[in-house]
Formats: sequence, C-alpha cells, structure tokens
Amino acid sequence: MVLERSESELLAACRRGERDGFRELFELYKDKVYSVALRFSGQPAEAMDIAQETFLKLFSSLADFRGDSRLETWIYRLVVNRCLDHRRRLRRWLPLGDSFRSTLRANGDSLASVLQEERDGYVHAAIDRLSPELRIVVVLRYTEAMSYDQIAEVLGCAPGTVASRLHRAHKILERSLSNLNGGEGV
Amino acid sequence: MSDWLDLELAHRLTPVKAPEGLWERVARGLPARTHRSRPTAGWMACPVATFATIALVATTFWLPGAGPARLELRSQNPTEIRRWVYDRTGVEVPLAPSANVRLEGARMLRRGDHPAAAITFRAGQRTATLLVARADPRAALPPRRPHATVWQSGDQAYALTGTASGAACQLCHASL
Repeated sequence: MVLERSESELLAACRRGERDGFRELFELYKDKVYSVALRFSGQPAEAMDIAQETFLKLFSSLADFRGDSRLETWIYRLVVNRCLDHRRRLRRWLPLGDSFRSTLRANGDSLASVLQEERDGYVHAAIDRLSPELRIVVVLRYTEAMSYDQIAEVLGCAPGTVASRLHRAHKILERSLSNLNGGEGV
Repeated sequence: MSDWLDLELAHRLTPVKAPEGLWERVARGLPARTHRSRPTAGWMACPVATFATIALVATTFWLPGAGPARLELRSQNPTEIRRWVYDRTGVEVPLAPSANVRLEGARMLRRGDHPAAAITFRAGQRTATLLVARADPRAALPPRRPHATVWQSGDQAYALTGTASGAACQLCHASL
C-alpha cells in the first residue's frame, strides 16, 4: 500500500471515521504491533488477538489522542497494555516438554531444524518465565530496538527503572539459559 | 551482561511481519459505517438474525446471577456512552442523566455481522443490562423471553435483563 498522507492527515481522516485513513494507519504500524504481541506472548494466535484488540482500541480512542506524546509512543502503549491484560487473562505457555513434543510431531525436517526449534523453545520458555513487567522491557528493547528513554516513555516510568528491570531480566535469563552457552543446564 | 545472551536475545526476538489476515480481522471489528451518517446496509439484510442474536445473547449470557461480562468502556457519563455506542453500532440511544439510575459502562457484542452494544447500569443495589442493535422496522416483534424483555422501537431492537430492569425506562426518560 502506498502511503500518501502525513500522520496528522491520517489522524484527521480517522477521526472523521474514514476507513481508508485507518487502513493507512494500520499499514504503518501493523508490523510493530504484531511483533511486540508475538514476542511477548510467544503464540501466533494470541498475538493476532492482541494485535486485533490493539487496532480496535486505537480506532475507538483516536478522538482521545491529544498529541501530548508521539503517535508511535501512544500506539506502543496500547499494545503493551493489551499484552499485559491478555497475560493476566490467559493461560501461560505450554510447558517446554509439550512444546518440544509438538514440534517433533509437526516437523519432519532435518535434525538441525528440530534442534533449532528446541533452542528457540528454551529461549522463549525462559523469557516467558519472566514476570510480565520484565518481559515487556526485554521485548521492547530487543524486538523494537528502543532506547531506555523510549521504553520509559511507553511504560510511563523512569529510565532508571527500565535499566533496573532489564538488568534483572538479564540476570535471570543468564542463569536459566546458561546451558546454551555451554554452562550448567536449564 | 554476557555478549552471548545479548546476541541470543537479539536473534530470537527479531521483528516479524504481521500476517496477511490481520487487517481482515481488524476490519470485521470496525463499525459498519465509514462516516457520521447512520448505517444503511448490512443490518437490513437480516432483521431476523439481528433479533435472534440480541434475544439469544440476552437469554444465554445475561442469565440471572451471571452478571455482565467485562465492560470495554467504564463510564457514568451518558453522553460518552451514547457516543461510544453510536460509533460502534450506529444505534442512537438517547441516554439522559437520571437521579435514580447510575450508568456503569458499555461493551460491544460481536455476533456475526450484527453488532450490538450492552449498556450496564445500576438502580440502587440492583444491576441490569440493556442490549441495543439495529433492526428492520418491518420485522415481526420477537416473543418474550424467560430472562429478558425484547422489544423494538423504530429501527432499533432492545433487550433488557437483570434485576434492575424496572428502572430501565429512566435511562432515556429521566422524568418518568
């Protein structure tokens, strides 16, 4: 889709209820929103739910956007809030064993592929064991490559808090994933 | 922090493309209309389904004691709720401030192509929910349901459930 209008023009169009304008806005942010949702939840189906809810919330609340922050920051806040809400409501990840067995059943490819899936599973399971407050910081930092200041603005906290949470997350992940670095096991 | 962990996280948490089907899912949840004009297509196509939907929802999801589901909009402001409902359903509910009724909020009900809204309110210690949706004014009046009162006014269908349903008229007619 070719984007022809500025962000402010798009906002004005959306506020008039123009679906085409909202579609353009969607195209601008769909990958960011879905990426955060998927990396946070670890499950495509849940990520789709989160992304859908985020955009519906965006559409319904555009009139409330006063421009105090950048639109991108505001949209990140929406998806972060949806992620945290979902995690409170829904079940946690499948245990690693089940996940791994599912992978084996579904994937008839090479051993390397299976091992890669297993490695992914270890990492994602370790990330999932982080508290939501730590996990969202990790996702914003690594998936969206945000600075501490940007993360702080999205989460509404101090940059020092972001640094502290990221440090704690790293320590936990280092311990639980040490086997991937040849250390002692998970 | 260890370099290996930094690399591992950067590798495992890369951004991804949104699936093709995401827009279709989002679009299904958007209000039927595209401008401020009242919607004219869609709801006329299947008035019976609209009534069936609103009656079914009323009798199955709002059984006594079950309580309303989570509200998407929490507000006691009639104007805000009115606008919120209109933006999503095209239904104009003339909510008015009333001393006897306290609004709690609203949520959308998405059943197929027939969006409806649920407005929850309290009268004293009792709670009730008013369901509203567009309907064909030519449609036959649906039968009374065991746990809900269903009626039609013009081109809008209503269903009322809950223990405070007696106060519902005052949602729109404060002088009653």
